[in-house]
Amino acid sequence: MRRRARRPEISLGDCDALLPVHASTAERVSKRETSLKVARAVSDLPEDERQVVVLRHYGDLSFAEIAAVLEVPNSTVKSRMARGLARLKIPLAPLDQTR
Amino acid sequence: MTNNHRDSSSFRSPDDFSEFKTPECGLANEDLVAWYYGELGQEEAESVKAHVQACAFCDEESNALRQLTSTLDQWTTSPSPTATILSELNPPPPAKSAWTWWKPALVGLAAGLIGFIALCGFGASWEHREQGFVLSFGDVAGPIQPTITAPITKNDLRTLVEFIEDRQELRSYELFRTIEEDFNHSEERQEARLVNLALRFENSMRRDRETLSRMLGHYVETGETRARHAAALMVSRALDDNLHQISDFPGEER
Repeated sequence: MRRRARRPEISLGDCDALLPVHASTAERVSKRETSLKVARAVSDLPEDERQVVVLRHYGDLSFAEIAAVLEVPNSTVKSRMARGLARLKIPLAPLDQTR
Repeated sequence: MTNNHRDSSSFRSPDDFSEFKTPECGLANEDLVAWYYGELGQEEAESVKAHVQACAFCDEESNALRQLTSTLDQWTTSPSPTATILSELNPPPPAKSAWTWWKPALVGLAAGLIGFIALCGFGASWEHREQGFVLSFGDVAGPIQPTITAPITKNDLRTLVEFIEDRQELRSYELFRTIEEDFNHSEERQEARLVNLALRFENSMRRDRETLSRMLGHYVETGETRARHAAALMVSRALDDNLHQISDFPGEER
């Protein structure tokens, strides 16, 4: 009797090698979602705090430059920045945990 | 550096949003943030740094700040209009090619040959003298002046503003087209939401435009390049946000 050749077996653990394509897609989607969530959180800030946070964190302006641009005292910029970041912590906390 | 010696109940407002804890040690949260962003003078910065190293509470707060700012970095948007314009004004150097070794050699050989032919065409000639072969020219042209990259002028700024305004108009048009389409299919109760959305968008645009013009004015006065970058960046991000609002509608309430 002819013996049937045994098919190669792949364990579930080895399937990880097949995943990168899907993983990268999922990763991209996840990154996009995170980006949107951060954008929303920042845009939900009160305008005065949003301006300072955006200019300092994303625009890389110094507090002094922001103060000059917005025509407010340096101390105001400092306090708005602290308040803005504090306010951002609640909506962004879940993102911290998932990363 | 300011020190807050207020207790926790006086520091927080009734509708407190703050997740950063009250600085029980006396270091103001503002100072911690300013230190984190490198906004303090050297002496103050060293003082805060020493305090943070010694104070478990502030150490925890600075870690929380690091985590938060790292999350903020996750926000990625399309390149700002300024970046686009600057890249056109100052094109980046060409990227290194992944050619194999023989391709550049071949190109070099071809270039040398073409150069030799061109030299001959311009009246260059080889002569055999005592010291060997000498290359000589009929008429020698003056040295080529190096290209000078012009500084950013007010005209460039004007172009920038026009570019941004074009983008705004385009996106306004997209928004109102969306609203118009939605109106045709929406029920009465959705109309109020649409009007509200449009008003919010208009207000947001107006505020951003005011801020932009103020910032550009500042740039012209002081020649501060970074303000110009940030202005466009801010407008770009605000526009992206407006687009998010469009794409969200009529999804869940934010």
